[in-house]
Amino acid sequence: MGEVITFKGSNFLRQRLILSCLSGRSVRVTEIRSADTEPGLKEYEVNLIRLLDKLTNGSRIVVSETGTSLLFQPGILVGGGGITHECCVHRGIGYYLEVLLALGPFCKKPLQCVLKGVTNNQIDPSVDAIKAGGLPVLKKFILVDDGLELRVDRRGMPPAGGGQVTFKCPLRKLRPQQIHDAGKIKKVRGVAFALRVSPAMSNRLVDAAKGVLLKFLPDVYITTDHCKGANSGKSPGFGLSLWAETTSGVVYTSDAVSRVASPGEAPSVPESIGEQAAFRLLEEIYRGGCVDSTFQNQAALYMALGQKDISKCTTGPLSEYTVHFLRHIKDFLGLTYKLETRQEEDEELRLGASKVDVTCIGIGYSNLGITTV
Amino acid sequence: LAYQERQATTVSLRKLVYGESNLAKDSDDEDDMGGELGGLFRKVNLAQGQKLEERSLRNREDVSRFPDPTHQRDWKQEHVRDLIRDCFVTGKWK
Repeated sequence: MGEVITFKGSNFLRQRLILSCLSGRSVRVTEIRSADTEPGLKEYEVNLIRLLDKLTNGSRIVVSETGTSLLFQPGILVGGGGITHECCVHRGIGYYLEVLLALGPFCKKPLQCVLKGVTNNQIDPSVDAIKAGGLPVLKKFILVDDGLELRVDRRGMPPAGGGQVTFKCPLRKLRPQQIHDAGKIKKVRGVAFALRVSPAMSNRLVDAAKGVLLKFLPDVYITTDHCKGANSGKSPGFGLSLWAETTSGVVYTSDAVSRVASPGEAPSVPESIGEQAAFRLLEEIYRGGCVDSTFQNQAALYMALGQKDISKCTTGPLSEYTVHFLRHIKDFLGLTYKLETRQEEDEELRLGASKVDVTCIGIGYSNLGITTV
Repeated sequence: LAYQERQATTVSLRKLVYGESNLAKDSDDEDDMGGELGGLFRKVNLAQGQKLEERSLRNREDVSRFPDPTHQRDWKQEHVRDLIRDCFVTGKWK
């Protein structure tokens, strides 16, 4: 099993737990918000550990009395169907879904999971963004997508949540991929939703976003999703998720949602939220590459755990989260990536930020479920 | 020359990512503080600066989304739009 790997601080907890589960190495995290006014693990982090406990068999978790230190001894990744998890409403379902997306292909049994909580919030990638942008990344590595599915059953906004999604992930061997061609953006799609507010809000969101995006491309379609009754969750709010698809199947995503209503603060205006979502999408397009910046780490993980062959992926500038993920992979798996700034041979084209070539050789991770069946 | 240039950037990117590790280091003691200035202020050397940065990062929120740039570009302006013109099928092809 190897010795315990020690980290400090609460940041990147998900990465550490994911890699711990996959590598089978125990991880200790100390000084979790030790200097904070509210020290220790937050509710949503404890909630995440509970979810991991449901996915694995034989994990041992020790949290210190103050909650500032955590020891996680991973068990066997089992997965399986019939998992229902009530996610903490302080973070979006996206926060948990990213973990499932990283672990799902490596479980013993195909994963089928119902997650309840907040579907769209300010900081996490929304379920729509993951559905549009995260699943294609996995699809690229497993080639056949029999049963990979993410369904949004209900929406829920913070603070009370009330949303629900169903996630299904098949077991497949990951194939090494060489992804160079980002292609050209051929269409922009999106979904605007208004929960427990006037349905006119979603139309205003769409108009504002289209006003910006139609200057680039005529093929912009944004659907409106006005949920009623229990499907609209427990809190009022509205928001917009956008995604742009290229000719080679790369998807860039963006989100913007209204602020949680609080006294003394002006409520969000749909026009500015719509515009913000569009601006964020354009910013993501500016970064470019063959994978959305939010899912860079996901692609890096699949590259690392694939068969023993070279995988290559061109990305936009690496996000801070990804940089730390690469460092964590080195700590857990002893694998380093080759990183090169792409030199454009054709300077004529205006394609935004300079791109990075990420290359590595897979470690040939053997999946319990696939080898035994 | 172009090759050398590429080499230089390669090294720096690698260094940026793998230069310092995540692993908790024992060298967090205060004894390597830089020289004092006027008995009141301490000079911050490079290593300390990095350490400070690392410490501020340590307990930050765990978010995978690329943070919004501090100065968001105004994509309504023509010259800003031109930056990514060729990312679209409507732009110029190779």
